[in-house]
Amino acid sequence: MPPAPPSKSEDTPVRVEVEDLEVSFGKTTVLHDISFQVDPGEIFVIMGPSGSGKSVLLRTLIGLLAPSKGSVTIDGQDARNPRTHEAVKSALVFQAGALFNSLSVYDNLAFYPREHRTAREAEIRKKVGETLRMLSLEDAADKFPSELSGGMRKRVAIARTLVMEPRLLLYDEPTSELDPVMAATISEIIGSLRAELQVTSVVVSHDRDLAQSIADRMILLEEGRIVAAGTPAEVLESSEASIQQFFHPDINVQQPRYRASLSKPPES
Amino acid sequence: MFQIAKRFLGGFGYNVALLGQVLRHLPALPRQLGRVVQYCGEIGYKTFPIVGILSFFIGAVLALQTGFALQQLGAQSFIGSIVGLSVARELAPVMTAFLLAGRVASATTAELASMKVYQEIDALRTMHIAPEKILVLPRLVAVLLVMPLLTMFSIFIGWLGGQVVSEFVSFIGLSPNIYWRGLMDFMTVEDVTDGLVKGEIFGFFVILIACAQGLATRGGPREIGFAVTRSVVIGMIFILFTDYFITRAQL
Repeated sequence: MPPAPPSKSEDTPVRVEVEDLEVSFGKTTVLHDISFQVDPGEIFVIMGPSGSGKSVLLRTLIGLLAPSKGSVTIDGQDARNPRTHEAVKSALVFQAGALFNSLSVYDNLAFYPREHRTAREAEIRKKVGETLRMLSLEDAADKFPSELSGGMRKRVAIARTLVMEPRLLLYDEPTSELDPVMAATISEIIGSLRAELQVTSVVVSHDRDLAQSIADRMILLEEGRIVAAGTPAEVLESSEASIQQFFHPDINVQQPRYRASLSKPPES
Repeated sequence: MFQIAKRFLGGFGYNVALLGQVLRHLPALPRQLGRVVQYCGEIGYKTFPIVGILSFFIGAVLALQTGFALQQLGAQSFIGSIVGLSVARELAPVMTAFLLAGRVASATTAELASMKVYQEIDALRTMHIAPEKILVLPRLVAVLLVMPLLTMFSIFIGWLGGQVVSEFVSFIGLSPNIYWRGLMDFMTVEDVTDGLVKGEIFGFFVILIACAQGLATRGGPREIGFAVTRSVVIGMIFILFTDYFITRAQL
C-alpha cells in the first residue's frame, strides 16, 4: 500500500492537473493528449457532445479509470492512488445518482460518516439534517431512492457528497433529464456550494446554459480531444459552429418556461 | 477452444484476485461484525428449513432404495450404516452446497450485479469504501461460520429421514434401535468431520464465485440475469468437480 500523500490543509480547495492524458480501452483510444489545470476553488466545466469522452475523463479524474499515458495529479499527488482521493475527500455526483437503492435517503447520506466513523451518531444526525435542509430535502429523509423524482435524486446525490465535506467535487451531467427550472436550481446549487464551501468543482455537461452560468473556465471536447479552452464566452464564441453542430438549438432553453413558479420549483 | 481456455483462466484469475483483495481487508473484520451477523441470518438461518426438508427426503429415499435391495438378502440391518455413511460423507455436504448455490449464491450475485450495473459499486469506491471489505468479506466469514452448522443439521435430518422410512415402511420394518446401532457401529467421527470439511470448502467457494460473478457484471438488467445463471452453474460444477478430488484425498 503506497503511503498516504501529505495533505496541505483539510479546508483548502485542491488543484487538479492533467498532463498529456490518454485513456484507451483495448485498441480504442477514447481520450487523446488532454492537458488542463483546474485551480483551487474554481468551477471548471468539461463540455462536449455525447461520446466525446467527457465521462471517461471524469472517471479518470476520480481514479475509477487509470490513464494509459500521461498523468492526473491532485494537489501534486497521483490520482491513481486511492489514498490521494481519501486525503482530499474527492467526491463524484453520478449522472444517474448511483444512490444505494436499498437504503433510505437519510441512510444514504449517513453512509459515509458511519463507514468511516468520522462522527458519532448524534453528530451524524445533525450533519445529515442540516444537509437535507440545505437542499430542501427534509421531507424525503425516510423515502427510498425509487420513490424520488429525477430532480430529487440529483439533489440527494449532491447531498450525499456534501456530507463527505469534499475539497474536490465532480459532477457528471448534473442537469441531464431535468426540466429547465430544475436544471436552473441545480446550477444555482453548484454555484452556491462553491461560494459557501470553497470546494474545487469539475462539471461534465453538454448543457450550454449550465456551462455559461456557472463556469469560471471550460474546455470543449470533440472525439476525445480538446478543441477549445478558456472562459465560457471565449469557448462558446470560438467554437460556435462546432457547438451548433453538436447541440440541437431546441434543447437550449434560454428562459425558464415556468418563471412564475421559480420560488418553489416543481419536481420533475 | 482457445477462447474458452482464455475465459476460464480470466474467470479463475478474477476469483483469485478478489480473494486477495478480501484477505487484504481481513484486519477490518472486527468492524464488519454487524454485517457478518446479518449475513449469518441470511445465509444460515433462512436456509435451515429448506435444508431440513431436502435432507429428510434424501435420507428417506436412500433408506427406501437400499431397504428394497437389502430386504431381498435379509440384510436390512445394514440400512443404518449405509444411510449414515452416504449422508455424512457425501449427500449432506453436496446437497447443502447445491442449496446454497441455488438460494444464497443466486441472490448474492443478483444483489452485487445490480449494484454494479446501477453504479452503486462505483459510488462506494468514490466514497473511499472498498466493496470487497463490506460486501464480500462479511459474506465469506458468515458462510464459514454457518456452513458447518447447516451441514451438521443436514446430516442429522438425513439420518432421521432414513430411520423413519426404515421403521414405517412395511417391507423394511427395521426398529429404530437396530437402525441407530447399525449407523453408530459403522460411523466414525472422521466420517462426519470429512463431510463438514467438504461443506466448508464448497460453501466458501460457492459464495466467492457468486460475489465475483456479481462484481464482474457489465451491461444492463439482462446481464444481471445472465450473471445469476452463470454464478449458479459455475458454483454447481465447482462442487461436483472438487467433490471428486476431495473424496479421493479423504479416502
